[in-house]
Amino acid sequence: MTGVLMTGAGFWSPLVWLAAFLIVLAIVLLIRSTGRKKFRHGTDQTAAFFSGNEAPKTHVKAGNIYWGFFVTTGRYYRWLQRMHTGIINDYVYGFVLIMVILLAAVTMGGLL
Amino acid sequence: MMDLPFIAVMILIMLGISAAVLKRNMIKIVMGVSISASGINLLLVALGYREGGVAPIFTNAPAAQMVLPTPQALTLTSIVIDLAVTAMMLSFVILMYKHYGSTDSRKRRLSG
Amino acid sequence: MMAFLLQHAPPLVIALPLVAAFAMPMVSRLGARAVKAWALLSLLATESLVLLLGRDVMSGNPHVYALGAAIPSLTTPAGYPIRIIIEVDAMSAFMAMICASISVLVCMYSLQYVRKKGGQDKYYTLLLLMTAGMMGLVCTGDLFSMFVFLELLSVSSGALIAFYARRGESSEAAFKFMVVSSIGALMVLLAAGIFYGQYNMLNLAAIGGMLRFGFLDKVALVLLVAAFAMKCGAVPMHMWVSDAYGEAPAPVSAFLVVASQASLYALFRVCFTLFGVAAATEIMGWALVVLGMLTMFIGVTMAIPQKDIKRLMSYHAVSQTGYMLLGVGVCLAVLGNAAALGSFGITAMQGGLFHVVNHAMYKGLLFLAAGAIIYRTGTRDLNKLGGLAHRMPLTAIFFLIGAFSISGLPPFNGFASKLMIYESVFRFNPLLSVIAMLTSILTLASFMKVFHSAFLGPELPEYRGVREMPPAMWISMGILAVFIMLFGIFPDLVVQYLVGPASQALLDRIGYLGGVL
Repeated sequence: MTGVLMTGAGFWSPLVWLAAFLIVLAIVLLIRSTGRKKFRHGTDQTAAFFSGNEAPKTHVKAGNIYWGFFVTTGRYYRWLQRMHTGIINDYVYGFVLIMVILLAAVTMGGLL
Repeated sequence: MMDLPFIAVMILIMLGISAAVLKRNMIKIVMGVSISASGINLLLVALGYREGGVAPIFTNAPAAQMVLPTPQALTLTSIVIDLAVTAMMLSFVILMYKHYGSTDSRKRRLSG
Repeated sequence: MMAFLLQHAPPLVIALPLVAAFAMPMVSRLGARAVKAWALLSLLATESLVLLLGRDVMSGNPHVYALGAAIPSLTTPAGYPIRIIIEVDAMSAFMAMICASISVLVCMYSLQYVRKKGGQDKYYTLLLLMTAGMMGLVCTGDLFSMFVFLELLSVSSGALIAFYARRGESSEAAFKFMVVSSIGALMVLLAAGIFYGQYNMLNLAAIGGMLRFGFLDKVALVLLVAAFAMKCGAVPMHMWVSDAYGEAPAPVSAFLVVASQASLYALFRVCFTLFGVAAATEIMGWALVVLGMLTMFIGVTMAIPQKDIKRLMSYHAVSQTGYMLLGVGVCLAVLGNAAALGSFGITAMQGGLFHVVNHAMYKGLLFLAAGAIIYRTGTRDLNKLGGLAHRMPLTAIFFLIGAFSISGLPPFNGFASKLMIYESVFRFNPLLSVIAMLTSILTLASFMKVFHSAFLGPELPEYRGVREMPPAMWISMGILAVFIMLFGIFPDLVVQYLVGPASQALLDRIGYLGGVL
């Protein structure tokens, strides 16, 4: 049957997924159509509720997104930033390191 | 002393790559790559050599074993490629000197 | 006519962009429009030749072509192979189709993206040379030609990275790229020299037939694997990728992704066809798996804090390369074990190869969308962008398709290939699958960050005059988006007709050797 991808342990059928998605979308639109149709734009009826405070009008900049994640993983990120120096000598040094490790693994791997 | 060319090849390649790892001046890094390339060209030419051989030309050839011609072709190709690569790297160093004011590899602006 | 083209297609596919590149200085005397038309037409001609050749090869008919022989299939006139032999089997045809298609789309996008006066003919010459280098790298059957075409690809890519010479950073990125690439290519040449010294042959099939796997052969294997892994951007040699892809013009970044995948093809060709089962593949397979894991994780975690949109996407390119290394590494590790190979090894390799074509498409789409943002707003800093979806809705939709695809959300193509990799790698070792899924989640997080910063939010006053992209740019992005959705909805057809023959050709070492010998 076309449209079914057999992975070794199961299958994935995108056409069935799309059909299910469309059915769920139809149900959602059906439920939405039973709501109130008359409301006034621009007044408090359509504004977001911020517990009575002013809604913020700023746009969170990219440098501040996920700050909690960066605070928690601070140690890992400091190590990672130190590793990425941007100096060409370290790039070639990484290559020589990998070559030495791979050489050790391939020549002595048979003995393990 | 049959192995002398190959020992020289090893020394040249290791000198070249260690120059790329250890030297801070970018022109010296380019020189290191060029020395490595010369070492590999020497390897290719030395592989084709036969003891007491003559040049691989058929016209009026003396009756002796000929040196292998294929590595000579490989070496010519490699010399031309290394010329192009060295010229390009040096032109990038010139552009970087014009913008950054120094040839120190630590004075990079792209990192992290 | 078609039979003539089909018989001589292997060298024509490499020669056509090369001749077009050398004819470009003469064509440039006719004006800028002639240059663009010439580049686009020659790339379209290459694409049609590649599709013609690919259709024949995928139906089970590998093409072998000896350059300079009396008849093209005369590869061993004296009992051993001589002359440069081009061998196009299904894996080479698969990669060649990817390279040719993306080159046409990149050229179409560049028609209106590259506005720099006076450098246009050099740009298209270098683009044609990059295509020729890639075609040569994936079609050739001998190790020294791989070195030559690898250097051709590196030199033309390096020049294109430094295209915007008014910025100092692009020359720095190009310098780092050239040093790293030339050292890698020199190691490939050293390995070719070692093989030549031992066996007196340079042909991949001939060396594969005579391989004894002594100490020198192990050294050559390590040199080749390390050099090609460096060219793909495996950790810890990945740092040039973010510099180079970040500083190149946007269409060139999309094309550099395909160049890295051509190096990945060379890595697979060396591991599977040159060395194969006889050569202790378990250690090399595990090495590729470990490299793949590190690459995936470090790539995506470095991507999240970036503030430059192209640098962020280039770290994701590094991370997705890890998926391909993981999938194919698992297959390499179980190559000696027939039961495991049949049960999950082949699916892992098919997942990895499917990921190659998916990655070329969705990464190309993402880089082109970033290029559209840079073209219209003039800035690359995510801290300064905001609210662009009001003015550029089409770019936002294409970006969203690319972002969902790279994160592996159904029904796009990323999900299909990632599912194949997860399910087969799980049966090799469950921990690898867990880390792969974690990487996928972090990828989604990072692209939601980019989408929010660049497109969502209130409309900023400085971008009030921004218009939508010019037609050449959205046509090429639209073609990529359509193919992403098609590949996502019919993944089984892709695996059956494209990826399946390619993986079978890669595993069929005897067939490759028999084609030449």
